[in-house]
Amino acid sequence: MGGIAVILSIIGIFIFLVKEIAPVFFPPQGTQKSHAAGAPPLPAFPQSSLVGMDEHQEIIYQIIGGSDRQIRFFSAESGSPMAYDIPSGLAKVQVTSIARAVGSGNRFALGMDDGRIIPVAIEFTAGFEQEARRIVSTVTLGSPVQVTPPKEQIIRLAYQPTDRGILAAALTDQGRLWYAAVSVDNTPVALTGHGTEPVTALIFDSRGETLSIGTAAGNLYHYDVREGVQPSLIESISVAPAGTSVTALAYLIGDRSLVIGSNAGDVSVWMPVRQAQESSITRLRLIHQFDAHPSPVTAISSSLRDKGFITGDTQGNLFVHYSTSAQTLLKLPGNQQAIRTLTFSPKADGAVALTDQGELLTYSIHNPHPETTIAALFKSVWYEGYEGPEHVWQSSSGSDDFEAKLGLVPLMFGTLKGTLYAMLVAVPLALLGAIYTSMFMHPDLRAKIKPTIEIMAALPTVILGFLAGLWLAPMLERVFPAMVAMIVIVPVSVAITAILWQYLPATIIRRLRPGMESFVLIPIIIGAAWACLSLNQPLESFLFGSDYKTWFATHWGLRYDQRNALVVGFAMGFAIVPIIFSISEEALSNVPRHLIAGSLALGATRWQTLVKLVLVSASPGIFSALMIGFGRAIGETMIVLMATGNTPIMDWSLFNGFRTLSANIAVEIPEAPHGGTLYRILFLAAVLLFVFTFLINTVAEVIRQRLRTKYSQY
Amino acid sequence: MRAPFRKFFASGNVFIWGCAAGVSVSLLMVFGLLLLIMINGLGYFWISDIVEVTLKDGQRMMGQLAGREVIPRTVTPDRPEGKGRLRVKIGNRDLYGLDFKWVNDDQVVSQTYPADVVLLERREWGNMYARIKAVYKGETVLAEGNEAGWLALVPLISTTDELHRQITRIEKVEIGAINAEIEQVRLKARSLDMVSPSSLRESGHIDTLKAQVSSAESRYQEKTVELETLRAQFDEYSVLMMDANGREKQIPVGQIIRALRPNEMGLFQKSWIYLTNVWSVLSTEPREANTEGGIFPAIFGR
Repeated sequence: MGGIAVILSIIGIFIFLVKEIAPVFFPPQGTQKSHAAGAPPLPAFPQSSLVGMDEHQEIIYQIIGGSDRQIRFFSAESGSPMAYDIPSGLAKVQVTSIARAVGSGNRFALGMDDGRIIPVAIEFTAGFEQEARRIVSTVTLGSPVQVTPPKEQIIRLAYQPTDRGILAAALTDQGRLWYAAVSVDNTPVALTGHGTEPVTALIFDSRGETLSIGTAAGNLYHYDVREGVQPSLIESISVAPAGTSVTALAYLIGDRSLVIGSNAGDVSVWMPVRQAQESSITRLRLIHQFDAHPSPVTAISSSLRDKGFITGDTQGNLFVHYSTSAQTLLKLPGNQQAIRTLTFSPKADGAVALTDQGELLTYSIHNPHPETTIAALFKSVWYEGYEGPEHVWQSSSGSDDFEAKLGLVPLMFGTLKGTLYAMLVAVPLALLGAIYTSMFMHPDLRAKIKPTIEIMAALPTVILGFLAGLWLAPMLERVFPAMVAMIVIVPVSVAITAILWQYLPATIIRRLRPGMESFVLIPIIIGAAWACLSLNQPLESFLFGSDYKTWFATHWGLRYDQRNALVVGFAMGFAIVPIIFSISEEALSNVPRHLIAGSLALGATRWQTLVKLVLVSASPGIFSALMIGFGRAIGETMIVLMATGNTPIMDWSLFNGFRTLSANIAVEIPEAPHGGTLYRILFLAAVLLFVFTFLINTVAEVIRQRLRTKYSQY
Repeated sequence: MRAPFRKFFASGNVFIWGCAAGVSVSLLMVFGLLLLIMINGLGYFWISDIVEVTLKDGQRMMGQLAGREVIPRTVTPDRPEGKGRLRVKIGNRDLYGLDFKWVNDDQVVSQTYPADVVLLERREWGNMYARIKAVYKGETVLAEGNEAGWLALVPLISTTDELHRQITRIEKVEIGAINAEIEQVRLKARSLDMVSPSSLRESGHIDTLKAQVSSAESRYQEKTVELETLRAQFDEYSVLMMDANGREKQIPVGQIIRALRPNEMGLFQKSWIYLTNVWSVLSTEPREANTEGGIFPAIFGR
């Protein structure tokens, strides 16, 4: 009964964990929801329409070129137009192009046939009337600004309001490209870096520091337009295959990744990467390539929440992509009507698109965990700002435009590293102690020593972690050279004692009970350790020149952190010594006494009997002791949490910290929003721990059974 | 000489000694850890003597020695022992703003342990190390000078302690009970109101409830009056203290939990204080944002 209950509870825990994790791997869902009859875009002007919606997806708006009703609102649900009076500022103007500013908020500029632009902002505020939400839209019009010489029509436009004024780049019907920074210098500057290639896309980043120009020849021209500098061409690069042109550009949130769409249907993400190790010059590089559209890409819109974006093409297909994981998550097929422009909803849970026929299509997209794929969790990923693909765990940050880095490999590495160092400390101590206690110690003494060592297991690990972090770590930093010396001096002094012991008069030796060796050794070990500690300073200058930290830094390139693997090795070793000791001592004691007696009677020495007979026949028990100790070290939390510094780095060095799966769960679960991606990934970490332990226990059991059948003839 | 060695190694005795070392190290680890925890933990409760340090610039300071270390930067090849400095718990946080101070060895002219220094354990601002200048009841001087003041202060502390206990009891237990009663009545009225608003008015329930509330409120008034008189008594006594440099500070006696003269005490007395300290940490609630007082809530689980 009890056994079944235990198994059922374990299965229950497992089912719960899987239930929490599964949604991360569910494929995203999306449907085309409703449509409204908007105005068809003007065929003569390629950039003459824009659409968008409020964050609750109740109101959609369309901005359209021309001279009549340039701004229109529709109910998202029914598609019916909503009454709206056009501001008088738009009454007698001819709008020829429209540009949306990069970043959050609905900010636009309307480019006109006389070379002026009008900044427009649409705001949605939610009010409550009789417990029902009502969204109210407000349109704010700025005063017109001249950005090109008069009498030139603006065909294409890029617009960015910044804290130093409005930036605009405008392509006119004369084929000339103008750049104007209003309030700095109102005179437009002609940009000629692209030569005679027709300009097909224009975009500023959200801070207004660079201007990117895509051309019909598939090239991208990168201008530096920072404050106080003349706009200068810093980079020109071919971003589309020969014979294809750049058709759409968009920045992902944070301005680091540029999404480029081509008329071959290619969608790719480019990031600035440093040229060489020490140089500060960056060049755009192709980082991620996504599933291609079957027809030319016409529009890209990036999410305001994460590194996702959507693309549309001339066949009406709408694809949802996620940059970090380089995945095309969702493909919504179209009905052969070309998408002219589209916009991701502010919460990234929907979209609105305008077709060439003037139909406004709304989509709903359910994609709560876009950033996770198996590959993004376990393989190295090229994150923004990095020089290559890496394994990184950095789940949260202070800023909104942060790219969550959920690589679990550094945590698995940390778990193994901590366990390894703990085992290195614990296994020799515990096994030697167990051998001695079971084989060479008088039974009376053994009955006292064994429980004493097992007391160590009764100590809460939080105390061990506390002492390791606050007492051992600073002390070890001070006396590290002495510790190095101790590793040699203590065994040597034990050996010397053993050699000298045989010269002691036989009368004295005979009077000592078996097992007194370890008590004889206590003062000797204390003496040797004390000698090392008091010679710390001279040892440091003898072994490492003047300062051991500098020595390690210059000779091996290692940096000494106070909270390091060495400290954890000692503290966690301390925690698992009693387990390994206790179980393997038990196994050794269970070797039948008549075997030992027979071996000794046949003339084997005590040591030969031990190595050839006892260790072999107790090997299954010793092996399971090691495995249980190993499992205990893998799951250990408090010691590693308090003594490692919790740095998720991948480095075997003894002198720096690490972060284990278990400590990571303890650190991050309090701040993980319930049901969010991080929350679920932490449960996944728990499952990994579960699987680790399960695998180790299974392998251990199999090996133990084999050993048992092999040596059971004794 | 070489043959016996070979024999010795062949016998494996050295490895057996190695195994013995495993036991020795494990034992050392167990007892070392227990010793470490005890030394670091149990030393905390010991009341050490108050030292009066005279510095080179003529300034004096009083407090308990809290440690000594070698100043890291002063260690040079030709002076490997370096220079030392003392860490003194100077207390008097309301006067100095900090509890601990480092004093370099070479600044110290003399260290004495005067018998007449008083340690005041206070409800706020931590410990005070000073001498008594005068004890007051309101504006009138009850006793003047350190010795007379000490004799007058000790009985006063037990008086104010009793008052403090009474005030706490009234505030927490008695007034708390009255408030709970009023809340019960309010909830009852509310539940009646939710079931059937009309019956509440008709059946006369409302009047009984109102009467209950008003009786509770009048008892509340009585208790507040009682509290006020107790508080007046509690605040009546005060003591004027003087630190090592003659700076003065007036403290209400009610703020003092315990007044001790550690330098006068014998080993037996200090051991008793040690035990009471252990008990008070285990049994009392924390004060001063968990930096002083006890850990009882953490043990009990509240």
